[in-house]
Amino acid sequence: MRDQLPTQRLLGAALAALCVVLGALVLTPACAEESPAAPAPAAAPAYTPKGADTCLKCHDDAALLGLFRTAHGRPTDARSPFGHGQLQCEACHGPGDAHARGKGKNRPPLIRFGHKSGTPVPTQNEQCLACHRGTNAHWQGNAHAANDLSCADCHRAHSAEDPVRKVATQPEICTGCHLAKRTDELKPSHHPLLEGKMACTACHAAHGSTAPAQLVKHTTTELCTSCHTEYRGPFVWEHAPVTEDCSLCHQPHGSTQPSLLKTRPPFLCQECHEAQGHPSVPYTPDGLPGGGGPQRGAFLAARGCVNCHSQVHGSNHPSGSKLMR
Amino acid sequence: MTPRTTLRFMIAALLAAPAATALADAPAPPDTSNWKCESCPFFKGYDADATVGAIYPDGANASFGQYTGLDQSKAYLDFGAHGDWHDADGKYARYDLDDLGLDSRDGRITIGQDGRYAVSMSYAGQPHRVYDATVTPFLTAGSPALPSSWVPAGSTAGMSDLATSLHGVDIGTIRKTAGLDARGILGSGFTAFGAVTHESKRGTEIVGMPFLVQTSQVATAIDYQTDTIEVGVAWASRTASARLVLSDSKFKDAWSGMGIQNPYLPLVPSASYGVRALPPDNEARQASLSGSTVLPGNTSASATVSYSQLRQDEALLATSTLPGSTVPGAFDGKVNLGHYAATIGSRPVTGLSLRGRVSYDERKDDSTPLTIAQVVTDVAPGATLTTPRYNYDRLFLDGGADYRVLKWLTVGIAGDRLNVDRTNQVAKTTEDGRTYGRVKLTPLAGLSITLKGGAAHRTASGIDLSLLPANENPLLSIFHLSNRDRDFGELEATWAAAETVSVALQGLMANDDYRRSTLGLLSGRERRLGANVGWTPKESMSFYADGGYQTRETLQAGQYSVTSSLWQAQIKDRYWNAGIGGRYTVNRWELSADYTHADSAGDTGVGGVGLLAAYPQLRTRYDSAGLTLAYSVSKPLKVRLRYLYQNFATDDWALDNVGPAAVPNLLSLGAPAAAYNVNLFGLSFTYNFGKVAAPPSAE
Repeated sequence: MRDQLPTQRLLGAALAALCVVLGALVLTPACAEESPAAPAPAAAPAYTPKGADTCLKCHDDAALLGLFRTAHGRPTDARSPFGHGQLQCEACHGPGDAHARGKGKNRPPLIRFGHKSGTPVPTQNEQCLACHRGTNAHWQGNAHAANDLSCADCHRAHSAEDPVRKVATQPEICTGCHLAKRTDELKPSHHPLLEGKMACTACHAAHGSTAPAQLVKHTTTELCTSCHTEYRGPFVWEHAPVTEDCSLCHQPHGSTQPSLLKTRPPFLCQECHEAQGHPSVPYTPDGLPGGGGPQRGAFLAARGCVNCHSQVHGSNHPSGSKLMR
Repeated sequence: MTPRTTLRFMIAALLAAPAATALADAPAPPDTSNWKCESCPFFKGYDADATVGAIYPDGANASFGQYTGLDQSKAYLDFGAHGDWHDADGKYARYDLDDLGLDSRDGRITIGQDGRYAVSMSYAGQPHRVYDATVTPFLTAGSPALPSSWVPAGSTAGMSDLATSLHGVDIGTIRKTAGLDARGILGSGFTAFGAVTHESKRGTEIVGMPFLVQTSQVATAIDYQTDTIEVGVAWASRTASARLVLSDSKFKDAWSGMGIQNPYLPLVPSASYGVRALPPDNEARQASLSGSTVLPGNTSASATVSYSQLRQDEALLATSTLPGSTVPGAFDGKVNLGHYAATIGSRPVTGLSLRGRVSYDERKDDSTPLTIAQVVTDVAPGATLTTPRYNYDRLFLDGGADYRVLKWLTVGIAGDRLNVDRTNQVAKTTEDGRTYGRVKLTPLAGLSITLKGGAAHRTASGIDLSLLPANENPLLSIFHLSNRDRDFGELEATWAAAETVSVALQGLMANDDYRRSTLGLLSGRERRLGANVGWTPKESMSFYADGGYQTRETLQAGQYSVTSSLWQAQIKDRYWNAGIGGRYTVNRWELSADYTHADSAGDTGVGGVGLLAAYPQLRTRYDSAGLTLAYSVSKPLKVRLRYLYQNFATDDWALDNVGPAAVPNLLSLGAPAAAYNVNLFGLSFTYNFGKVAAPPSAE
């Protein structure tokens, strides 16, 4: 466990950040504004003589021209492929002179995007990362990269509106591959993805992170309590698993049980609590109201154990050790 | 040197690396002086639309309107607007306003200048309707009291005033989030950003309010507010990036406690009133630094260091409402959290892909321990206990390699290891190790089949039974602190059968065996299967069909006393869904239709080993059919007709027939199992009043 004061550690982090930033300032040339968006080795193919004016002679259908409604098609943004001095279409698709001059099937291919494009996925993605390194710091090594996903598998760079960047339409893109999550979002207890009010990226960093399951926060508990702040604590009386991992009890993608629970109380609670007395009772169905057995409805009906132990996320009551107050 | 220290050094080196590695010379750019982009249709002017119409659901139901707010049988205003304006200097304004007539309305307005700055204001409402048919004798949700005529009794059946005192109370909340965020491009790769959000959550929730062995469900009013501020600076070059973020989030609860009148005959004379603590005000601060860099050999590395602190020092309530009870001092809650992590990914030679991740998380609870003589549920003296604080250190290592052996064959191996050290828990340490292999076959163009399988083992050590709660059975194995063996396998297949057809299939099986556990969870089995087919014969036409099937089974054991025989509980949950839909655009018409069916069944059996008695089956059935027809009356005007039918039915033994007086020692809210049958009709008109500068004609 740590032995430093938090303020010391915060100060340490701030100093480290300062060192990195100053070092970078001193040593590093600027990126996007001064460098072309694609490398051009000495022996590399030539660029077209007129840039996009050459390309648009042929590639002028409306679906492609949607790009000019996006950040990629801004002449007034120095970072955009169409910014001053940038390489326009060839910033992403690579030098195109030979392609423009070619004829028919002998026309040499450019860098194209998507799984059917013929361009190796790492080559495609490097084109994107060259400018989008900052928002993709953890791309390499993440699950999507490991499964050879190209950026264009999810993004539509030429569409005026990229569906994966809209809350309402993003889940459809994600569940196109994550098929089990489509089933999960239909379950009776779910987060509001099906209703178009929450995106997968509210919780997951699709471009990678250093957290488990590519979460946008560092731990599961930190993620959940960033919205459910009332459970953040610390409480006078903590429930140990709550401090460690919400997913020990909850299934965040959807559940057939209430409150996204894995299993319904009392059985969920009895996986960890078997103390002599009511926690260790075998709650058979004859204990239900009208079941004819010993009356145990308060342990089974409505919310089961939570009918009494309603402070399962922690209690701030001095007499709350049983999480009942 | 400890693993944590080693990791810190490694991360420090990685965070410093961007400065060193970003020195690579960029190639000389080509001469673009003749690249006029005269045929580029850059967007200038404005493009906007507004939608006005009405939505009418013919049934009033909280479950149907759970997250949309469409929970009443009435006409709702369907109103939305979108706009985008850009001038020649790159200044722009944009707005997206949706569902303005509903509680789920959301909107964002942004102004800015390309490559310089952007400022946004946003709002989102998120209703969470839960029940609209619950009843209670308590008069107010804030500090629930009973009618003056109330006659307490030893059980709900004896509460003579209950039937006449019941009145309806809705259960549900609405979360409203308003935000302001700004971003400025500072040049040289630097961006500064900041955001302020204010979030409120108000409404009613169900809480349990016990008086020893008798309890009530109470609708309690909640009024939460969370204010968060975040500022940061990011820097990026072609080969490296760094990001520093500072945040502070404050949660406020309007009340610290809620007093409730005891509807039962008090078990002790003074216990006619109880107080329940509500979530305390709290604060979370965080400083986070992350960075990435490109290294030689097609290698990238990234790292994150983060420190957080959680605080709360809300004034404590008295130990009970009994005469003579006192406040047992003050609580100074303070938890420090650390996160250190690094990742690396590499493709050193053609066909070989390597990845690795190491992370270290720590939780140190520095809260003041309190020793408190407790009063159980404001009724009876309880034990004197000291508040336990829970700390952990968690080290996670993850790595893998994939190699393309042949053009059609890629093999991979991977593994991870998770070590957790805890305090004040029965198992001091758990060590999880997982190893798996992967084979990816691409025998035909467009066809990909991936098989993955492996095994995992968890070992718990440092068992200290003295940390079990009083009267706990020493044979109990808490499931996440127990030895566990897991084997698992996955199948994934995708097939682009033709240019217009795609097929995907995924399956997963996992078996958990807690073979050394006598009590608690003994085993678990999970199966998942999903499939979808897409067909897009032409740009204006697309169809899909999808389906899924999942099962989850667990077996657990219990023991009433250390001398009695074991009992078991076996739970099997199954879920399946199927859907079909499509879109078609022809001339001025757009048609979309979809149908989804989903069904769940849950079987629970409890009893002696081999003698399980079955609960009534838990069932849910969901059907949804939607049809949308849009017609472009003229270039700017479009009319849209929408019809949606949804049916949901539930059988739930925990809710069915559980009225307020059904259980002698549970005064329930009589919450019904969710069920609805709703037809929704919508008619709206969308008018586009855009004026976009005509694009230059191509040469």
